[in-house]
Amino acid sequence: MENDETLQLFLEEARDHLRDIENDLLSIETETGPSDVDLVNKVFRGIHSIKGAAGFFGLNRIKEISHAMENLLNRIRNFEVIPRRAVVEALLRSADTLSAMVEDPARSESVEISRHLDALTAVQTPTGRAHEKVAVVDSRGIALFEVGADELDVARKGGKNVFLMEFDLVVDIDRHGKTPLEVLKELEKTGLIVEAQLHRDQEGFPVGSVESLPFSVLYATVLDREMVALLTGLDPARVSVVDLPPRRASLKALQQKAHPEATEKPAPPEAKPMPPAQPARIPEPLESASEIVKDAPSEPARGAPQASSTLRVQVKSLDRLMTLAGELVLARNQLIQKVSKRDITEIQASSQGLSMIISELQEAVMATRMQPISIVFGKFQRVVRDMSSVLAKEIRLEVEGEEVELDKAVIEAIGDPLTHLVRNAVDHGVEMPEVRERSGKPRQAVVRLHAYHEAGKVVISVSDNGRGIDTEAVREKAGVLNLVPAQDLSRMSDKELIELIFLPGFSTAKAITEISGRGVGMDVVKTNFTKLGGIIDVESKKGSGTTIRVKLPLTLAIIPSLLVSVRDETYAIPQVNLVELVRISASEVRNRIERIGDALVMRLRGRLLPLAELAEVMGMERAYKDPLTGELRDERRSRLEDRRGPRGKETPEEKERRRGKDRRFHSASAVNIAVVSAGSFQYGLIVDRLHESEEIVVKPLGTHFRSCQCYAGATILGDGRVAPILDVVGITKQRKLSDVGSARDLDEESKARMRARDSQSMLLFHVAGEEQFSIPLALVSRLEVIERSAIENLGGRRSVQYRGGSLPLLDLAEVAKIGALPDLDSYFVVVHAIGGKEVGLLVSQIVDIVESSEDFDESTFRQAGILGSAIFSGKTTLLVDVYEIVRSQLPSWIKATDKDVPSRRILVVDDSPFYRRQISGFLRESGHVVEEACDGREALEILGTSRGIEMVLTDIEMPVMDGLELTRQIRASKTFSHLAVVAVTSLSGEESAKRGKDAGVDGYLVKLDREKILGTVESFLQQRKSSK
Amino acid sequence: MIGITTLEGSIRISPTGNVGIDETETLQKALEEAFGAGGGVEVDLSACRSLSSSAIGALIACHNSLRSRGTRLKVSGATEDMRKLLRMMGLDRHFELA
Amino acid sequence: MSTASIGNDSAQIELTVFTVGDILCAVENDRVREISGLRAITPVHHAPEHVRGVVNLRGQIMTIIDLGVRLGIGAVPEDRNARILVVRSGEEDIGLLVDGIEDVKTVSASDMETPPSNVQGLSGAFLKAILKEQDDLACIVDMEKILHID
Repeated sequence: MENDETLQLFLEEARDHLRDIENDLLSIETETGPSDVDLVNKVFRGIHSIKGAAGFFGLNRIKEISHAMENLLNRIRNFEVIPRRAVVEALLRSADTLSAMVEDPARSESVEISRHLDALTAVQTPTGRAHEKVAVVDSRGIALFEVGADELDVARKGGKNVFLMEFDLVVDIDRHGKTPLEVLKELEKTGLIVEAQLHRDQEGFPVGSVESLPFSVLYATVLDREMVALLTGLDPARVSVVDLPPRRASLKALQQKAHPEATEKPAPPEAKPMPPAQPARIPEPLESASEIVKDAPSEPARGAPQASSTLRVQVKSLDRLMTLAGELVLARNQLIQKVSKRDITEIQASSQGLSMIISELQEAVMATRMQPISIVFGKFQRVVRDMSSVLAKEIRLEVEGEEVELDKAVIEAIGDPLTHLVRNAVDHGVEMPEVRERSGKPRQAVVRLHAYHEAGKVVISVSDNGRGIDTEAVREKAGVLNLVPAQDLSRMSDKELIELIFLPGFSTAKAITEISGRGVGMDVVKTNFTKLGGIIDVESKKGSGTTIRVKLPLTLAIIPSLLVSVRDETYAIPQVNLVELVRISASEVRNRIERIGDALVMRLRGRLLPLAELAEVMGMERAYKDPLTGELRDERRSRLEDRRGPRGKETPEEKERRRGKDRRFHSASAVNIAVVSAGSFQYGLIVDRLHESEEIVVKPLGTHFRSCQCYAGATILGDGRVAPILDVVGITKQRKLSDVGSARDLDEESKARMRARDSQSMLLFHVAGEEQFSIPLALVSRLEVIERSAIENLGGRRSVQYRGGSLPLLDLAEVAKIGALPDLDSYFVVVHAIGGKEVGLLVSQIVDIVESSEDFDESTFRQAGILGSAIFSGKTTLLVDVYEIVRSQLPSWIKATDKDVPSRRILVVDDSPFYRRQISGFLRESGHVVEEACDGREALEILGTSRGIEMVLTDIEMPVMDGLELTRQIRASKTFSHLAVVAVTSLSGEESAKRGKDAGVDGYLVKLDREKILGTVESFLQQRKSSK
Repeated sequence: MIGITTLEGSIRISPTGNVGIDETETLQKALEEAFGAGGGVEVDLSACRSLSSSAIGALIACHNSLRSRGTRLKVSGATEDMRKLLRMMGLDRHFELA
Repeated sequence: MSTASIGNDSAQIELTVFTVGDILCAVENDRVREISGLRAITPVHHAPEHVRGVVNLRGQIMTIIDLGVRLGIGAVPEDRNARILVVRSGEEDIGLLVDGIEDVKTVSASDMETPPSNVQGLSGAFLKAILKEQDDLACIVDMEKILHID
């Protein structure tokens, strides 16, 4: 042996390492949980250095055996092998021999170590009980034990709950005068102790009195949490539900191979984990512990709300981070250079660039934290299924919006309160199947989880179609508990009563509350959400169900969107508003797009789609080249009267255009159109360029942009530029204002009224001379041009051959006292569908399409064929009564459509006397009995006093009480909740459509569409009848 | 009442009756002294009817001290229930259960 | 000798001095969050006239007010000297586009006088005070009024 001194040193060190090894190994030993990793590391390091040094000295045997031990220790610290008795045994024996070898290095080379090597290898091959494991963690995130997933399964059979109970034996048991044995026996009577662990991190002597002895129990029982807490006297906060991560296919395979093993007697110390009173199923040894622990880093079975310290990140996000990091380095290098050159301007430029990259980096990092809400939603199927089987209820869980993304911290925080809400819905909200049947409901109840974006927030709703909240019971309970003074209580509305469930103290400790509906722990739920800055809202109707809506305000909301640009400005259109993209080549343009006055429309699959140029909407450039004719135009929309040449006379081209003859749309290049939907209303946005679809982060615009209706926020693009996000609904409102004359001319009141009102698209046209008429665009199927020569005249009736049939042509002049239709070479025909057939209205000229929320003056110009008048584009315009015209000229048609309609009693609610009269008119003509109200409040009064009202047709925007509130009231009332309520409106954004639906509206109708209205009335009334 | 017997190289402690909170102090003292004697420590539970948590805590503390000496706490005479309890607590693999 | 002095003599105020058009203006330093170089301003249409648009400030979308327009003396040209003065307004930061940053000065409250109704075309309504120093006149702007949204 060379160099004795060095060798001595080595031996000295080796002895040091080995001295503690026995105790350390004993401490490492565990049958179930992961052991003390630090300790394993310590042992590992010790053996590792022995191995290294031994090699140096040519002590090969020592090296070999150390190496084998090192391998095993490494696997232990990687959770690949569990240091059970057998494993530790092998290590201990090897350590013994190693110690002996170190004591006598000279003879170490001849020591027989093969049996150790064998043993060490043998224990690494999972032949024994390497179950598929699940780690159970406590509220501090510390893994307590690993349980066989199958054991958990067995435990849960029969819909049992598995709880993690964190006792402190001294505090919870001793101080209550019980002994641990007694408590455990009690537990065993009502459930199964799957696993238990005592935390023995005790000091040795001398020790004061033993103050605390933490003891965790994994317990399976049919009792629910509150009862378990009661039974054991534990604080319910120490009893938490244990969930399993989602299963994988391989698990199933495992289970199928499993076979039960009878283990009644307590097992001898070396083999099994904690005693199951039932036969334990030990599956085929395949997976090692790492399977579960590694594969699902963010989904260990939880004992309590626990922040997982890992998350899944899209590779794409990481790539972006990498790229940005790279750019950051470059920018920094540049900056350093510039600084040394002392060129201030350059430095500023560089630092600006750096600043930009940093903000991107910041954003990219924040974005990696965004996780889809499916992480939370995922487990609910199981929860609902298990609970419904225990409670013997039939429930289907519908989940929507799983792809909605939230920040990781938010997702973690909402898991529990959402679980609470879902459990409540299942437990208290849904009735027993028999009860449901008796009330005429389907046996199977539906619980619905829906996540969606709305106005920059994420809304999560948990709803059920169960028994709803019994507000009277709430009132009573609140009174009994003295939560609210009696006189206030008696005056509370239903909505206010429902809010009471959020009061602390409202919920009881009883497992089953007497209140139909929710009640347990809602104050906690509310606090949880409020902490995140969210608001919670409950809507409930006794007998129908309950919806709880949580709105979480986020500074980070990511939505998929389409980027478009116009001139050199880029905008984002949220995917949710996008219907389709249409690209029309230059040559196709003349066929697809038409100009009507100042408006552009596009033919899209049988209907006319109004178009808007985004540039125009934005008011870009006062003077710009008209994309249609190549001319320079002064203003966005010139009024009709102003469309004359500089000397007050029209140029021939202008005249042509005004007459609408040249309705062709000219474009030098292809036209890109994004078809968007604003609720039920769709239109197309003409943009210069369409770019990619991108996920963008929605950021709010500052307060200075409050009144800009066109934007729903803004985002930062990849290159650091800002792109405003378009508010598709807001744009229509914006345009509406600018269509009806100049906004500046209107007084505040009119502006406010218009902003609030529903609007309709109106088609403006001339029949004879310059007199202007209008008809709702919704009633127009098509616009056509026909040659005079094509008109056939048969027995006084005019018609034209059209689409393989004969189209009757009607002349307004024959019904109303207006000038006669002039003799022209060609006419325009406004095609209208009625009763499955079509008629054409002959007009001399199509003028324009405008958005209007104007009310109609019914008195001044009222006559047959004319419903009223209003001012459009500065001119008095008469509203044509198409129905009247058809009726007078084709009476047989009308009779045919109004056959055998049983008379109903219908309530029509609208603040505009005009529309009210119109709709009532349709209905009365069809033989219905109509009552009218001018706002929601009057409507309720009428409902209260009148008998036999079967249906309500209501406007939305009304003073005093609007249509939505009216609907809610109707739905909330006992007597009227069954009524069919249809909203008669036209413009409604996604938001209001949802609000409407949530309020209980059954459908939406366009105003003045007589046919539709009558048809809808009929079908709803039929439906209601059948569901009774 | 705690019985203390001195054996060859170890001390045997035999608690009787119910070892509640009050009795635990006595037991603990006895265990400490036994440990202090330097040899092994054995706890005989044959006369013991019940053990409180703090009593168990005392046993554990004693065991942990003994560990540093390289031995374990010996527990004998445990009833079926008692063994079950110890097993549930994972103590059966640490104490030397006889 | 100062007429119509505003503050009490002993108070010292730190001001950031900048130019808008040809006029020297100042604002209390404690309102100023930072001074940023000019960066690309994205126009946002249908905003009030004095709002130039928005910029990306380290991931935040910040409104930019053209102080020249706001004060009534004409738009600030986006050139090399232009700067963005970032001030806090409630919960957000607002950037004021100015022609250039001059200096940071400490002055006595006693040197400040009530502003006249008009200073070289700049409406006195937006001013808190004026500061006279030899031949120079600096207008101390009233941030509340400037940031106010009608």
